[in-house]
Parts: sequence; C-alpha cells; structure tokens
Amino acid sequence: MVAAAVAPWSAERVIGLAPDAASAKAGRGLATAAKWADTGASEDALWGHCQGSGKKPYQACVELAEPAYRCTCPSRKFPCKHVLGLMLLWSAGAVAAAEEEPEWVGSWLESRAGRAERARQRAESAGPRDEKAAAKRADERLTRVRSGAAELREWLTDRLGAGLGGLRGGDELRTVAARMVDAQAPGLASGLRRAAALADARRGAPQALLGELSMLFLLADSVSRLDELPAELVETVRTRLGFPVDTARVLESGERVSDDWLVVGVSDEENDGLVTRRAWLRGERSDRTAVVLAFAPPGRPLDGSLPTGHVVSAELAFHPGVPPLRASVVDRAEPVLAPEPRGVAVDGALDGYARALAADPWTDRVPVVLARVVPTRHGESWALSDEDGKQALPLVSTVDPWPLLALAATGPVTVAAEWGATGLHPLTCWHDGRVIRL
Amino acid sequence: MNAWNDLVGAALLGAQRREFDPAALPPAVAALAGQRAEPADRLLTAAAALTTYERAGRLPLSDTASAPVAAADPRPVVPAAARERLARLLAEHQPEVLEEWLRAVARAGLRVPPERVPALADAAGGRIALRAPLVEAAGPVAGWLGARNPDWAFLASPVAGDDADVWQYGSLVQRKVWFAQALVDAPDVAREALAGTWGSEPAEVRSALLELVGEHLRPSDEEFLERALDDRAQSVRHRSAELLSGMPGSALGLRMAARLRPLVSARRGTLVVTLPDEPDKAMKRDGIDAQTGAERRTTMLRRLVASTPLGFWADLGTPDDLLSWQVDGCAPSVLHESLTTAAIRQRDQEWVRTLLLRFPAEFSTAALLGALAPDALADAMTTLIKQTATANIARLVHDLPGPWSPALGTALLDWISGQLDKRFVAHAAAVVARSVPAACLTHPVVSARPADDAAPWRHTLTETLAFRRDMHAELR
Repeated sequence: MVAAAVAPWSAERVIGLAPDAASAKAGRGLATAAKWADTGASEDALWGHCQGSGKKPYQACVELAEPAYRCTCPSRKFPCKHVLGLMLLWSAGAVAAAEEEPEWVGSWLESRAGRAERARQRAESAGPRDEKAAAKRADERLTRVRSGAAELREWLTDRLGAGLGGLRGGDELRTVAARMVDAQAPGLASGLRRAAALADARRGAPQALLGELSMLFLLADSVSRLDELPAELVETVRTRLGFPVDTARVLESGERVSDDWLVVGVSDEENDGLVTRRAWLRGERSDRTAVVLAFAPPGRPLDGSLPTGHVVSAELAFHPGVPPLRASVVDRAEPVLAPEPRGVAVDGALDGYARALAADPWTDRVPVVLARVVPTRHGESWALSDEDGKQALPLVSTVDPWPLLALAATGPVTVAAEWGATGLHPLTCWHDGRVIRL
Repeated sequence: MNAWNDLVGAALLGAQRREFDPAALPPAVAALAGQRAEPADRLLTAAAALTTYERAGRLPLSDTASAPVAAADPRPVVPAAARERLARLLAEHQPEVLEEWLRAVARAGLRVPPERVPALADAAGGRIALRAPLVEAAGPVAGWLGARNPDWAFLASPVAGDDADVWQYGSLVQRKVWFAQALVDAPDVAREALAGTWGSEPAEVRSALLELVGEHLRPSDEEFLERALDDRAQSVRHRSAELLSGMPGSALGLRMAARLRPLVSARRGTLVVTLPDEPDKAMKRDGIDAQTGAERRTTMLRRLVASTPLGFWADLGTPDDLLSWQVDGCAPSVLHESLTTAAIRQRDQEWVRTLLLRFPAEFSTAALLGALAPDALADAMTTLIKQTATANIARLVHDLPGPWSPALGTALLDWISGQLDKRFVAHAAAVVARSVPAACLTHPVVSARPADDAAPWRHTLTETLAFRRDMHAELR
C-alpha cells in the first residue's frame, strides 16, 4: 500500500497562497488534469509537469510543510501559476499518492534540508560574535530615537502654543514626519502622516487632528520617561515607536504558551509597498488572544500556515508588551478545520476594546468575534447589530459590505472582525457549517 | 462634550493665547494636566487623556434600522469543488458557461453560496441572460439584495401575474414584462386584459403587444387577429395577416388558396405561374397590396404564396417535385423564397426539411432550422453533414437554435472531431463546445487528449467540454 499522503488542502487555503488576484486566476486556469503529466504527491511534497507555451514542460513542485515552491518557469511571481494550478489539482483530489519522489524532486528537498541545516549552523557560529556589535547598534538607535522624540515633543508644544489654525494643510507635518524617519522612529513618522492627511481634509478635521497629535505627544513624551516606566510598558512604547523586534530574543526568552489556537481571522493591509498580514488567534484553553504578523512586498507570497477558521496546535512565543499580543510561532501541527466559535454581543466587544485601550492607549484595533449579529442600516451605510437590533457597530466604509450582508440576509451569523476607531472591519463569517474569509 | 470643544478651541487659537478651563475636565484628567508647566503641554496631556476616554467609552449605535430577514432557503449550498469553479467562472469572462452553471445548480436542487451573489449580480447587470437563472439559483437572498442595492434592482422585480396595477399604470417595459409572463402563467387573464385596453392603446403599443401574442398563439386567437386586419395601423394589419397565415385552417389561409388557385398550374415538369392583377378590397385587407412599381405584381405574388397554406400544393406535386421543376412566368427564386417564408410561418416539417436539404445555406437557413422540431433538426443536420460541403455545416452551426438536443449534439461532436484544421472549423468548434447539451459530455472527444502539436482549437474544444463535464459532475 502506498504511504498515505497528507490530506489535500481546501481550495480556499491554496488560493490564500496566491501572491495576487491575477496569479489566482491563472492558477485556476491550469487546474485541469489535461494540462498536467507525471503528477504525484508524497508525504512531504507534490510535483508535476505542466505543458506551457514552450516546448519543454515546466517542472513544478511544492514542499508541503513550509510550504516552499519551485518551478522551472521564468515567472517572478511566487508561488507561480503552475504551482498554484498543481496545488488546486491536488486539492480537487486529482493528484495520486506516490511512495517516493522522483529524482528531481528528491534532490530539491535534500538541498532544502541541507540549506536549512547550514543556515542553522551559521546562525550558531555567528551568534556570540554579533552580540556586541548588535548591542552597540541598538544603543545608537535608541539615542537617535530619543533625540527625535524630544524634537517632536518640542515641535508639538510650539505648534499647539501658536495654534493649529496656523497649519496650512499637512505639508509641515510631512516635513516633521521625514525627520522622524531619519531619527529611525517610523511609529512617530506614520502617526504624523496620518495627522497630515487629517490636516489636508477640511471638515471636522480639528477634532480628529487634535486627537491624533495628542496621542503622538503622549508617545513622544513617554520616550523621555522610559526609565520611569514599568518594563512591560517600555516594550509597548518601543513597539509603537517602531523598534524592530529581535525575533531570536523572543524565541529565546519570550513567554511561551502552548494551546490549540483558533485562527479567527486574517487581514492583509498594504502600506508603503509592504503587505502586512495579521493572523488573529484565540487560545481554546488559555483564552489568550495573539496576533502573528507576516510581511511581504506586493506580489510576493505571505505566510499561509495559519488559515482562517482552522485550529492549529502550536506553541507561541509572545513578544513583550502590555498586554502581550504579538507572537511568533515556535512549533505547530497541521491546521484542522474548526467548528463555529463562540462569540460575544456588541457590548462585550466594546468592553474588550476598552480593556485593551486601558493597557495600551495607542491600541488601534482589537479582534472581536460577534455572535448572532444581523445587518442593520445606519443612514447610507451598514452596521452589524445584536439580534434584537438595540446595539450596533458600524462597518468601515473601505470594505465592500455586500458579501457579508448576503450571508447575514437569512438570519443571524457569527462574524470575526477587527474593531477600531474607523469601525468594524469584517474578516470571517461562519455560515451554515462553512467558514468564509471575507 | 464641552470640555473637549474647549480644548479644540484652545488648540486652534493657540494655547499661548487662549487658556482652557480645567474645571470643565474630569478631575483625574485635570490633575494629570496640572502636572505640566507649559500651557501647550497641559492642553496636549488633557487632549490625550480625553481622546482615550472617548475611544474607550465609545457607545454602540442605537438608532439603526434592522433589515427584514430573507426567507430561509432549504437547499444546500453547492459543494466545495463547485464553489471553487464558481470563483474561476467569475474571474474568467465566460458568461455562457456561467449561465449553464447557474441553471445546473438550480436543477440539482442546490443554491449558490450567498457571499458570491453580489459578484454574480454585478455580472448579471451587464448580461440580462444571467438574471433569471441567478434569481433561481440564489433564492431569497437575491430578492433581499435587489431590494437594498439599486444597482441590482432587477433581482427584486416583482413577479408578474398577480398585480393588475402594472398593466393599468406601468411603463411600456413593465407592461410588456407583465403581459409576456401572463401569457404563460394565465393565458385567459392576459387576453382579457388585452381586450380591455386594445381600443385605447397607441399604435406602437398595439404592435408590441401583438408581437407578444404571436409568440403564444392559440387557435381561439383567430377571431381577434381577423378583427385586427381592420386596424388603423398598417404595422398591426400586416402582422395580423402574417400570424393568421401561419395558423392551420385559418379563414385567411383559405381565402389565399382560392386566390392562388387560378394563377398556378403544373404541366409535365414545369410550374406555370401567372402574376396577379389589380388587388380588390378584400385582397388589400388580407395584406396583398403592393406599392406601384415595376416589381409590383411580383411582390403581390410573393405575398400570396407566402400566405397560402402549403397543403395547397399537394394537388400539384410533392415538395421535392415542385422545387425541382422549371418555373414559367416568374423567376424560380421568387417562388422558392416565398415557399420558404410559408414553410417557416407554418412550421411545416416536410417543406422545411426539403428546402433545407435542397438549398443548404441559401434562403433564411437560420429561420428554417428554427422551424424544425428538435428530432427533425438532428435528422436534418445528420443528412446535411453527409451531403454538403464542410464550410456550409460550419456556417450553419452558428445558426442552430438552442437548446440543442442530445442527438444534435452527438451528430456535431462526431462531425467536429473528424475535421481538418481550417479557420471556419475553429469558429464552429467554439460554438459546438459551448452548445452541446450536458447529456453529450460523455462523448469520446471529451476525454480524448489531442496530440501536443494539434491545432489550438482542438485543445480548446477538449478543455471546454471537459470543464463542462466536470462542472456538471460536481453538482451531482
């Protein structure tokens, strides 16, 4: 009997790996058996030959654990359409299980294993030598950030002393933002750019502008008092300032929590040529919330190891902060599709947000799982309310509400979302035994 | 919040110029701000605290209007493979296959995933043929969305038949939709409604409604049509005469036969025709009036032949005889074209078939094909495939009325798989791939794998057919 290959992933999960919509579309077009020859799936990998426009067929293969991809086509998309087509074919059950990989797949898997081993050795041997230099670099950076924050604090004091009425548009704020970039404080820079956008807008802006600037002041001011703050809060301030996280340190000394983590929702956000993927997790036993971040330039693959609506048995290492929220995955098992999760009512979601703000006043969003909500009209826009219609949260204006509304048209649904100052950003809906990434 | 507005005012004017009133602040905030020396720092500290207060204390909306709940749909959502295929159909522009998919979903007793209905509604916005199958396959969700998004109002248009107000007060488009539906659902109600308003409708409305009646003709409509021959509008008179000439045994048909009888005779392989003289009042009423001109009497003959029941010719010879004989008195094509018109109007299977086989791709072939019963159509095509040039078949494929019967589909799959690589074959192959019915998707060509160097159309043909086969299989 042939060794049981890994159970094929759902098509949704495969499509989640596509670097962009065009790749997803092209991959779907290649997901027909007629395009493929010599396909197979082992416990570790998936492979096949795809007839392209050229004479020689492309060789595509996937290592499933990571997942990692390889294809002989010239595309710079990653994974390319051939790999996606192969995976979709596999997802549809049209790739037969095989005992052993063919030679060209096997050698690639070995070279990957070898490379990982060499990287590990390099990291081990390089570790101690780098320590001193790294500490020196960190010190230099802290000094620069401190002087940048002091400069911003002073600028804010002067600006508010003279009056915001004197600001003509957001250009002055953008100039200050550029200086914060030089000072290696990207958190301050992005806050200033948000403020600049508010200053450019005409109506209702002074209210929001003062709000944004006052929170920036609080952050810049905290830098001057870093020594007085509790250690955990210092970490939160450092995160908000945009200090890079030393993942090795987190893996080494971060708080470890092993649990069955439900991926309640995954959101992708593009900013300044970088896509940030946030996978929001909830510990089934610990009831802890965690967010795992992944970054990639547009068109490059994002981490697909935490699929929406699945439970992943994993050990997480939490980054320091109040509350500890961001985490790195230390070790994980295969994701398993989970049943519909329990959720809270609208007031419960708002309570959670208030608690998060009390710990970290710069919190911009929290994950919420709303149980039994229904669509409701709020003027020209839409909101989700408790079943009795008494309390509702508005949907953000930047997402298309209709797919969610269509799901909720026939009765209350469970929805996972990010809740923040601009409204509710729905990520996941459970409907009729299915989980739908919105 | 007064304290907040006070802060905003001070911020706009400048903390140096305008102090805010700390007494208006919550005591804890006032205490926090009081620790700062600079007025601007006091202002920013108080604003940061109040901003956080406001965010943390945000209240839910309480003045929203709940939307009514759509009726539950007991049908299961299509399985995962079909959901994935839908994503592909939406991404690739394949409206014909999408329409087929929607119909297959509804026929299988399934429904489309609700979250995809908005994207499908967008697709149906530009493609009217998708609307009815979408409403059916989406169920109550479609109506719910149509009632809430004006772009998709077509999903919610009320079903006609029970709302006589539409007939009385609706726009012409709404009235036509109502009337067409009523002709199917409640034929008596439709005719009663038409009789009630016929006299007061403007000419173009009478014309439009008559056109709809013509698509659902019953023998009892003859009386109404006969009266319409006296209509004020010429378009209505002519259309009524045409419709009457297609009704078996109509009085108009008998009158035409009587007029034609003295004008034609057969003599040893020759058909002798005399052109008609000046029309009398009764002929004019029946539509046999032509404008003055050189071709006037020929035109009158054309109308006369086209309106005469084809049974008239049985006394002279079989259709095959008559079409092969010489014609004396007018050009043979005049007679053949008029007989073609008569055969199409009367849907006379023997005449239609004879005309098609004798003149493939010559006169009104598409209309002739449309007048054949499905079985006869498959037979006729099978015969044509044996007898006529490939180019003719390739052209006819575009004109075949849908939906194709399994026999027709099989005949054309057999035909296409035996063709050489020609451009017109490639075009026909695309039509065949889309049009053969689902029952034909077990044909050997569907699973045959063309050679790597075969013409692209062969690959496309196999791919489209296999795609459709898998699409139907996963809905079962």
